[in-house]
Amino acid sequence: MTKPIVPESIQNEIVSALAPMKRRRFLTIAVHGLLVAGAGSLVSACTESPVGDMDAGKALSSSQMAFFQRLAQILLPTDGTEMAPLESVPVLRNLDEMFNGMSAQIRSDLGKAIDLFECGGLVMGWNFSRFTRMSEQDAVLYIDSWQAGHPVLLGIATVLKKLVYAAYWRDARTWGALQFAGPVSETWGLPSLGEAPLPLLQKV
Amino acid sequence: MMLKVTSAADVTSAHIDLDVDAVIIGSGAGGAVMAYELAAAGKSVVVLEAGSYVPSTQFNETFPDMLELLYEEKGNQATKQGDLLVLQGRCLGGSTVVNGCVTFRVPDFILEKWGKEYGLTNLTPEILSPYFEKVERNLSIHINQPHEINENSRKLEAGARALGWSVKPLSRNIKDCALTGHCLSGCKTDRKQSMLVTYLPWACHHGAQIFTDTFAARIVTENGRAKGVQATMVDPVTKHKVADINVKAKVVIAAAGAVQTPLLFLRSEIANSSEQVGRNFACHPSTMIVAQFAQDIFTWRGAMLGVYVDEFEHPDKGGFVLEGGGAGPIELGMSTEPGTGKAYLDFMSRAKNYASCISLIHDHNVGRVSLVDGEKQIDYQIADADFPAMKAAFKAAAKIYFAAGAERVFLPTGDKRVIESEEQIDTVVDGIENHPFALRMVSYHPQGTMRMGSDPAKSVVNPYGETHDVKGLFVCDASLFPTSIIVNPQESVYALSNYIADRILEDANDYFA
Repeated sequence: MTKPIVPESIQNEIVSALAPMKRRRFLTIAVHGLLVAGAGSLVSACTESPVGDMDAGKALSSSQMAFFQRLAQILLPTDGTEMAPLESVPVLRNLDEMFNGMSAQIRSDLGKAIDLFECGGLVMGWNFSRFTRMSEQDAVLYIDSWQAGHPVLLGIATVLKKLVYAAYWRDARTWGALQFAGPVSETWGLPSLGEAPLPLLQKV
Repeated sequence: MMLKVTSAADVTSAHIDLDVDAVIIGSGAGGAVMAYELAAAGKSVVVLEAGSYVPSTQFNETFPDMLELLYEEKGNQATKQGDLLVLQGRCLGGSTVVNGCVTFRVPDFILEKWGKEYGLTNLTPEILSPYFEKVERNLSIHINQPHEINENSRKLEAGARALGWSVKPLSRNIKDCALTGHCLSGCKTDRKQSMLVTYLPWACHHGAQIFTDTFAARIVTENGRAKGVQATMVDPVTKHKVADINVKAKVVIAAAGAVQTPLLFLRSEIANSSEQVGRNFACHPSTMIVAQFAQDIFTWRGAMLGVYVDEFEHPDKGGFVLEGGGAGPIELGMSTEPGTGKAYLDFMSRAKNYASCISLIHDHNVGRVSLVDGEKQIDYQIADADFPAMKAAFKAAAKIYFAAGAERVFLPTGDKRVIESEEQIDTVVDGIENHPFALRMVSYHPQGTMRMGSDPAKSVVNPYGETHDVKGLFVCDASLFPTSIIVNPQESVYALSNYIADRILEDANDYFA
């Protein structure tokens, strides 16, 4: 197991701040937990400043697109591997489409999670840097520390990772490296069996 | 082949009024069987399905696309805290369209418990057996033949045999399986005997009408008797209302599943004198354990589910089963935590070398489905009392895989937990604590929110499927189960729905006069 680099004192502050709260959703709890733990102004400042100059998508803002671009680079370092190059797979477009199909509530929760993850390094783990500006090595350690931390942090890191992985592997160009054939029924020329014949009327 | 249904695109009138013998809400395992049995007996039947009609020609065998097309909330339906996905079909045919085809009868020891603890002495193996036999015939249910057991399942089988543990081929409702491995994306060639190709067209043949894109808002009652349903037809693309549908019916049957059925009752503010509507939610929280082998396995090739280890099925022996279940790259890539960046790609580069199995536990009914500010909420955290079963399942799976020659085993945890040798199994597994996001869990088997029982103070529905409070109002989906049944529930729902249909027809003079 990776050792948490988020100081226990801060984690404990978050946990104790969470205890009396009765919010409906864990991501909301997480954001408020950090605010109560004294990081509110930093998080707020962080989310207000632009990270990159990327175009906004249908559902993702410009800064969210930049965030996911950096997260994908850290999670999927395909250079020197047999995997489909990250640049050849429309991960950001796929993520944007996935977000576009989610309910407003889930999108809102994930937006808060992204803000928290992006800015958490300013107040936790002695990084003093937002996630998108960390070196590759620091970014990996930062992610691992979240997954070894409080369940709320673990949950956020896990969800963000899954989103990026899904956006990458759903593209057919990534399957060749795994020898995964993808859809086969048409390739194999499989006929449809159609409706099953009507059964005989039978009483039990 | 196209089913005759009325969807939002077909409707030009803003109001539709129907007057029938029976209205059924939901077209999955329970609703479709009920529709056929009542229609075949000459009753006029309307089925209301909130999802759309997606013909199998639109299935593309790409899991993320099909999650968005065929599943509730596009595959994002989750518990309140977000660490357990509750995957259900939201389409004509419901979850029967997207499941892994695995079929089981309710285990006898579960029926015995239902009889003793919930007064369901009518649901004996002897009484239910003819119903199971009937649906098994109708749905081509058969024990997997050797060619339907792929290399992935053979690893599970070999390991279990080496340890002297009981392992059996699974039964499935499939005809001439083409071994594509894409069950969860819907069966493109209609070999899976889902409700789309069986009971729904059969019900239509006997005159049943099906309305898709139709959300049942409220059940209407009058003087303690069910009178019908108020529903809304919504365009699935624009989300705009197309029509109000009012169905006047002599019998109302809820078959919307263990999440939507209690929500319908709560919205309607009926049949809840016991205050048990929505309570007692269980779901067989399921995880995937992945083992690395030196040789090629290609877990995604062949029939998706082949064998299962039933050595620990009885609660006295552990209360879990392991099913040899394959996974494509998407599922494999999200089922475990092998590390970040290069470590992850290194893990994925060996995808063809992995075997995987699914754990199902006999969880207690500690969850709840409720309305909060008018919105659905699923509360569920695996109980501390159930966590040992989950850990025992991991240990058993790891032992099996090492006995079969695995090099390492990856656990389905939120943080990185890899077992490098048999000696490490206990230490690594015992280190897992029960907290949100500790495990990567999915449920395909929500159950138990409309508990069936003889005591009106402790259950919602009587032993014959009718609500204690409202005459002529029935439930026939997995929400009836008083406890989780530990095994895949679809066949049990088919049989119970048929049983309840027969009870309704036995009293036809009362219900349909």
